[in-house]
Amino acid sequence: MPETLHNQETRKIRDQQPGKIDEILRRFPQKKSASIPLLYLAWDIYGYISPEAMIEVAEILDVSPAYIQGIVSFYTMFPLKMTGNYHIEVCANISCHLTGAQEVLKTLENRLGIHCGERTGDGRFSLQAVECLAGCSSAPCMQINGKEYTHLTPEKVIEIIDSLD
Amino acid sequence: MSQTGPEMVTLTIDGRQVTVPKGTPIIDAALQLGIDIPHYCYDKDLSVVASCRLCLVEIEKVPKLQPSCSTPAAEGQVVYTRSDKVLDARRMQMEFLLVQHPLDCPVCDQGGECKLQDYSREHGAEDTRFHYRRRTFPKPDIGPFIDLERNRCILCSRCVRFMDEIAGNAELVVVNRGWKSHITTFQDQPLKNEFAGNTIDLCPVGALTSKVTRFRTRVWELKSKPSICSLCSVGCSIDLQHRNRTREILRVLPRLSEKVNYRWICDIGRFGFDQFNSDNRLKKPAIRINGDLQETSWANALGEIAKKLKVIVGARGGAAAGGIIGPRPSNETLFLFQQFFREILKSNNVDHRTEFIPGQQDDGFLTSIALRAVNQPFEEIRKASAVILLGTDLPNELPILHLQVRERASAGIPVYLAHHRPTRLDSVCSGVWGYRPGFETPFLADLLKKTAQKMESLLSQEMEETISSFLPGAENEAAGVSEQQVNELANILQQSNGATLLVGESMFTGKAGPVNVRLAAELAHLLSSDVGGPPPLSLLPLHNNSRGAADMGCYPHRGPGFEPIEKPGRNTAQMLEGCIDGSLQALILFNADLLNEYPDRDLARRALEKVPFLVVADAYPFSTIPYADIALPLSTHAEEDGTYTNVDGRIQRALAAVAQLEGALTGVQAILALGERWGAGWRQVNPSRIFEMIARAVPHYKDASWTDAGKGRCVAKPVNISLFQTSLSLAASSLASSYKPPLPDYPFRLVRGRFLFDDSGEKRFAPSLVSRREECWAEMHPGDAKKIGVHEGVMVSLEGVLGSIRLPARISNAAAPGCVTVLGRYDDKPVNGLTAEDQPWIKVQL
Ligand code: SF4
Ligand code: SF4
Ligand code: FES
Ligand code: FES
Repeated sequence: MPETLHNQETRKIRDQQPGKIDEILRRFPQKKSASIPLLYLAWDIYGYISPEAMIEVAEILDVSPAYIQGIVSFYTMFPLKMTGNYHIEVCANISCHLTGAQEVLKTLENRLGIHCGERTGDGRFSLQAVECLAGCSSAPCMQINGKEYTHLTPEKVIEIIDSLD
Repeated sequence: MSQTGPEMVTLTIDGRQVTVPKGTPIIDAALQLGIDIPHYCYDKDLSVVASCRLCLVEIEKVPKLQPSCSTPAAEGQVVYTRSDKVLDARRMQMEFLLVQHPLDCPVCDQGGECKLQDYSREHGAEDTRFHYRRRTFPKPDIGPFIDLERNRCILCSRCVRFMDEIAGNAELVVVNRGWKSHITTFQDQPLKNEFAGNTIDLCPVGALTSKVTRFRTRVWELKSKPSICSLCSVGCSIDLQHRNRTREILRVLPRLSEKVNYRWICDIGRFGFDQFNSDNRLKKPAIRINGDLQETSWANALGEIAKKLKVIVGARGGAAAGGIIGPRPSNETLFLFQQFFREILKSNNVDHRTEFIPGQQDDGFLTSIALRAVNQPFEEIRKASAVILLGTDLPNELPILHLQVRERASAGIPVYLAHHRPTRLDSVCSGVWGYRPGFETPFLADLLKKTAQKMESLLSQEMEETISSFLPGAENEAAGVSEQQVNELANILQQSNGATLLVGESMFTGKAGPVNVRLAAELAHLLSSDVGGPPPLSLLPLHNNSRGAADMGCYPHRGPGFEPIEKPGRNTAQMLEGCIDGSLQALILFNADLLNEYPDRDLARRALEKVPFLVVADAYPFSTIPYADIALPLSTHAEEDGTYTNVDGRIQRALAAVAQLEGALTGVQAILALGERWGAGWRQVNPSRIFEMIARAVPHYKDASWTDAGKGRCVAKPVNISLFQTSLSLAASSLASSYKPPLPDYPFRLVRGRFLFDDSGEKRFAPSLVSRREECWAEMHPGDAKKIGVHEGVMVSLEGVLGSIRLPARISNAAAPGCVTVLGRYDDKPVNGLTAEDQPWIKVQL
C-alpha cells in the first residue's frame, strides 16, 4: 500500500524510537507476533493507545488498524484514554472479588474522587479494574505502574496512595 | 496431486457409506450424501474456526460430540448426524445463540433467507430458558453500501475471515471479548474494500445487509434473471433480481461461474444496479427544431435520420458519414451497427475506440491477435507457474481479476508487477518494479534486451534496432528504473518458464500500443516452453464489451472476424478531424460518452459542434446530448437480451430482467428500425437471430450458440490474421519524440489512470455509486510539492495548453517526481481537456 502522506500524528514511534522498533521486530520470526510489545511501546510514547497509535502500530506491522484494535480491545491492560502518572489497576476477577476487591475499588474511587476508568483532574492518578493479575494466592491485589500490591484492605490502600508523591 | 490421485478414505454417515479424499471435513463428506449438517461459522472457502458448535456430530468410539467442520473424515469412521445426542446439542446450541438475538424478523431484510430462522424452525427449541434483558450495541455507519446491525450478529466471524483471507484487507474484526464481543471496523469508519459486499451473502443472519436494497422488498417476492455485469471486461455472472410486475431492479447477486468470478462480485457490480432504476434517462426521441431539442416520435426521428443521411450520402458518398460506438453494447448491437454503415451507407467510417488514438491502423489489441497471443488472463493464471503483470493497476481496473491474482499469490504462485505507480496488489507480489510514467516502451525494450541476453536468445535484427532506439542516450531520457533493477527482473523472467504475461491498458493502448505489444509478445515467447506456440500473453481491455467490439468488426479497416477491408475508412480521430474540416457531414454516436472518454476533449467538442448532422443514441443523458441534432433513447443493459465477450474471449449471454422503458428501444431494435425505414429490407428480429448471423459471419464465433452462451460455455477461438503494417522500426521511430524532456513552461507530465470509485460511464447514473465515489485529486511527489509550496489538501490548478482544472492536492510517494497523477474520470473535472494526447505537459499553480 503506498504511503499516502507523511502524517506527523501517526509517525511518533518511528520518529522517536526507530531503534526500539527494530529491536522488537528482531525478537520474533513473524511480524504479527510483535503486536503486544509494540503496543506497550506505543503506550509509552502516545501516553495511551490512541487511534493514531493503533494506526502507527498497524503500519509498522503491515496489518490493518482494525486488526490492532481487535487486539487492544481484547486485553484489559491497554488504556484507551490518557492515563495518570500513576496508573492503578485493581483486579476484579474471581479470587479478588471474593476477598474484597469491590471494597478496595470503592475506597480508591472515594479517595481519588473519580470513577473506575477515569483520571484525576491533576493528571496524577487513573484507576482501572482489570482481569486476573495472577496474584490469586495473595488476593485481593492491584498494581500501580506495573508494581504489585497484595493482601489489600481499605486501610492499606489509602496508606499506599498517600505514600506516593 | 500425484498421478494416482489423493488418498481416499471410506466412512459411514447415518448408515450410508461415502468415499472422499483424505482430509475432507466430515461436513463436506456428508454433503456428498445429501446430508446438510447445520452450520454457521463453516464456509468451504474460508479458514475453519469451529466456533459456532452447531455442526456437532456423534462419532463412534469418540466420547464427546465433535464439530464436523473441523474433524477430517477418517477410514472406518462411523458418524451420526441425527442421533438424540446430536439433536439435543443442536437444540441447546440454538438456544444459546438466541440468548442475545433481538428476534426482529419482521423488520429484518434477511428474513426468508436467514439461517437463524431456518435452523430455529428445524432444530430449535420452542422456548428459551434465558429471560434476560438482551445486550444491545450502538449502530455504526460503515458506508453507503452495507448496514451493520450488531444486535443480530451471532459472531460466526465469516465476514472477518472473508475480508482478511480473500478480499485481502482485514477491515472487519471482532473487538472486545466475552459477552461484549462485537463486529466493527476500525473506529467505526466506513468500509473501503471493493469486495466488502460479499460479506452480505456470507453473513448467515441479518447482521450485514445491503443498504441499497434495504426495506424495499422481502426476498421471497424477488424473481431472478441470469445476466452479465456490464461494468467491466471481467463480465461477472450475476442474477438481476426484481419484483414481478414492476420495472425496478432491487438486488444483484453473484451467479456461480467457475471460470470467471466464481461466487464473488465487486461492489460496483453489486450495488450499481440502481442505474437501471434511475429516472435520469433519455425517455423520448428528440429532434432539434429552431435550435432546441424537442420531443418527437420514433417514426419521425428515424424518418428524419434516413432523410438527412440519404441527402448527405447521395451527394458525397458513404465516406461523408461516420459512426462511433462505445465498447459497451452487446455483440448484436455492435454487429448491426457496423453492418448498417457497411451495407447500407457503404461507409467504412466505423470505430469503437473512444478512449485512445491508435498509433497505427492495427492497434495494440489487433497486434496481439496477429501475434496469436492467447488473450485469456483467467485461464492463464490458473495454470501458470508465475504471473507477470505489466502496466496495470488491477485493483482499479479489473476487480475480480485482481481477486483471482490475489488468490494465486496466496496459493504460492509468485506474482511480479511492473507499473508506473504503486498499486494495492503490491503487498502480495513477490517483486514490484516502478518505471517512469510514459516510459513504458523504453522500459519494455530494456527488459526484453536484458532477458534475451541472459537467455542467450537471438532477437531479430529489426527487434534489436528497435530496442536500441529506445534505450537512454543523447536523445532519450532514462525510464527511471535502475540497471540493477531491470537486471533483477530479467533474471526472474529468465527463470520463469511457464509464466504468463498480463499487459494493462497503459501499455497496449495509445500510439505506443502496437510497439509495446510486439515487445511484450517477444518477451512472452522467451518465457514459453512451447516453442512456436502462442505467446503466453494476455491484454486487459477494460470495458464490458471491448473484446466483442473488436470481434464484431467495429474498425474502419477490419470487418467482422477482423476481415481486412480493402478501402479502409476513418478511425475515431480521423472522423473527428473530418467533422471539423467538413469532410464528414454526419456522425452517429452510439453508447459513446465521447466528451469524457476521448483523450482530447477539445477536439471532440469542436467536432460535435461543427458536424452538420449529429445523432446521439444512449440510455442516459451523457454530456454529448446537448450537441445532438437527433437524440435517441435506448434501453439499459437490464432491459435487453444480448451477448457480451469478456476479457477471456468468453461469449456470455445476459437476459433482460425488466420490461423496456416505454419510449426507448434496445440498440438492436433501433438499428433494425433504421434499416427498415431506409428501405433496405431489414426487419425486426430477436437478438438470438442476430447472434446466429454473427456465428456465420465471424469465423472464430462459429461454434458458439445463443443457448451455450447462456451457460457461459462459449469461447472465441484463436484467429489467424496478418498485420496491415509490419515494419516495427517504422512504428518505433514515430514514438521517439515522446521521451524528450517536457516543454519549458509546462514542467510536469500529466499522468492519468483508472479509479474504481469514480464517475465514469454509467456509474454516474447510479445514485448508490455516486454516494460511494471518491473525489478527484491531483497527486504530487513530496519533493515537487515542496518546491512549489503545495500542501496536502490545498486546491491547485493544473494548466495545459488547452485548458485547466482545479483539484485538491495529495502529496504522496506514489507519484513519480516530475509527474502529476489524476486518477479516474469525472464529468465535472475534464482532465482530458488540458493537453493534446501526445503532449501531456502541464504546469501546477496555487
Ligand atoms: S456479522 Fe454476520 S458474518 Fe459477521 S460475524 Fe456476525 S453473523 Fe457472522
Ligand atoms: S469485477 Fe467487473 S464484471 Fe465483475 S462485478 Fe465488478 S465491475 Fe462487474
Ligand atoms: S483473581 Fe485477582 S489476581 Fe487472580
Ligand atoms: S460450523 Fe462447525 S463449529 Fe461452526
